[in-house]
Amino acid sequence: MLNKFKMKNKEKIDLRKMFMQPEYGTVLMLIFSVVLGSLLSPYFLDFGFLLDSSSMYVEYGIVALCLTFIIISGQIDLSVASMMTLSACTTALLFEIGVPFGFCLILGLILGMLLGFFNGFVITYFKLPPLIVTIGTLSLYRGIAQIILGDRSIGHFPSWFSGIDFRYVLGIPVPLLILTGLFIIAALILNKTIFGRQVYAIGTNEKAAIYSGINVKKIKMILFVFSGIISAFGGIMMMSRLGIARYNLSTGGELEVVTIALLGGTDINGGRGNVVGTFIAFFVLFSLKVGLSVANIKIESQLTIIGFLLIFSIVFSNFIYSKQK
Amino acid sequence: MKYTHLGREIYAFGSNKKAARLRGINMDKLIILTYGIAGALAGFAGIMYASRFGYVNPGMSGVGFEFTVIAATIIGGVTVTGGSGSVFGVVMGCILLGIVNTALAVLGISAFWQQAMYGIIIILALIIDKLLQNRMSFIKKGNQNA
Repeated sequence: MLNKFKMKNKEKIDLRKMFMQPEYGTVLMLIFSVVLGSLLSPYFLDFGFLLDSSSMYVEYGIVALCLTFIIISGQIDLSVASMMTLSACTTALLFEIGVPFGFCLILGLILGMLLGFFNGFVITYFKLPPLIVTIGTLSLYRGIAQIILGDRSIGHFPSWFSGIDFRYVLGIPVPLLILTGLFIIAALILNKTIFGRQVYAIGTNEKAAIYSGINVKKIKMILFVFSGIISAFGGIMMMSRLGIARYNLSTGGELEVVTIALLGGTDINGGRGNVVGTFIAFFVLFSLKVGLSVANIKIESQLTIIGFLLIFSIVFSNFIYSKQK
Repeated sequence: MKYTHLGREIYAFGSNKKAARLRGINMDKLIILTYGIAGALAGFAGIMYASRFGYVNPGMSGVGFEFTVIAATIIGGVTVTGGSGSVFGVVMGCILLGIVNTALAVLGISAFWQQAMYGIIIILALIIDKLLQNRMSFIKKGNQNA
């Protein structure tokens, strides 16, 4: 019967296909998490409170936007959280030594670029699997942060720098605006430029991409370098929000970043996914976390829920993609 | 690993999935079995840990063990793409890591270096392994041509 239906009108089928996008699953999750949050606590649905608490997770959202590109191209970068920490720590250390602060920020971003470049270089030049390489650099970068700072924290940044989450434009906190702006840029790059199409092509079939004349190495390198820069940016934002830099900032942050990217319906095998999903998934994760925190649920239990979400999102998007075929 | 049916099947699966399936190896069963063994061994290691320290804490025990374990396996010559490696090598890798750890303490280098050392070791081992593989395949090709 389904076949007849398919033969008769193609338009309806297209509509069905449209609704079989994993992004809709993410939207459903968002509704679910908001409902859950408001059921758990009466204080959850306060709009101002939600806006304020969004800044606490924006760093991860920004990095997840970049990670979406990497996962679509069939790679993965687990060292993002460590790159955030290392660039934040280096920036703080330079500030402590006495370098002018604006200069420190630029050097921090450049360091992020170098870290990303190292990742990309090892992966593309030696043709090693990115999973293991970035696990190695995850340990390495955080280790270096630990070496340079030891077990102390650096604070007392200039007053114009710290407290980015208390700046508002038109009543919206600045971090959220940054995230939205970066999301729009990322969506345009991914959907409207040649570069974006090439990223999809590499993820779908790397050999075919090579034979059709795409410089795969160069594009992978660009992706990893950008991942480094964006991570450094996220790390600096986190430093501004917390007012300090320590070696164990954002420990386990890679888990959250990967969860956001995968929850948005990006296929872990590459070739499929969208930044829109990641953007929505950021709100899913953030409203879940805020909801659980407001309901006095411990961080350890929240970790369990994130792990569960991660597995669920992989299974769900896999299911949808198999249906699409 | 080397002398049982299961061990050979795992090697076969790692080096060429398609060939292994065509040879009639039940892939799903094999995957579930290997992960099951990994889980059981991890549980055993957890119990050993508890017996050694006399206390257990979900937030502290075994945090960051992934790096140590992965580093030990890679140093032991197990290729990350699958299909080769040996348990003996992994044991040697563990011993090497143990020596590095003790050496750091004996030489008076602060414990902060430990994590970075693991990272460096993982990446260096990966690169060396890859270079060796390239050289090996080069030699093989040369022999075939001659």
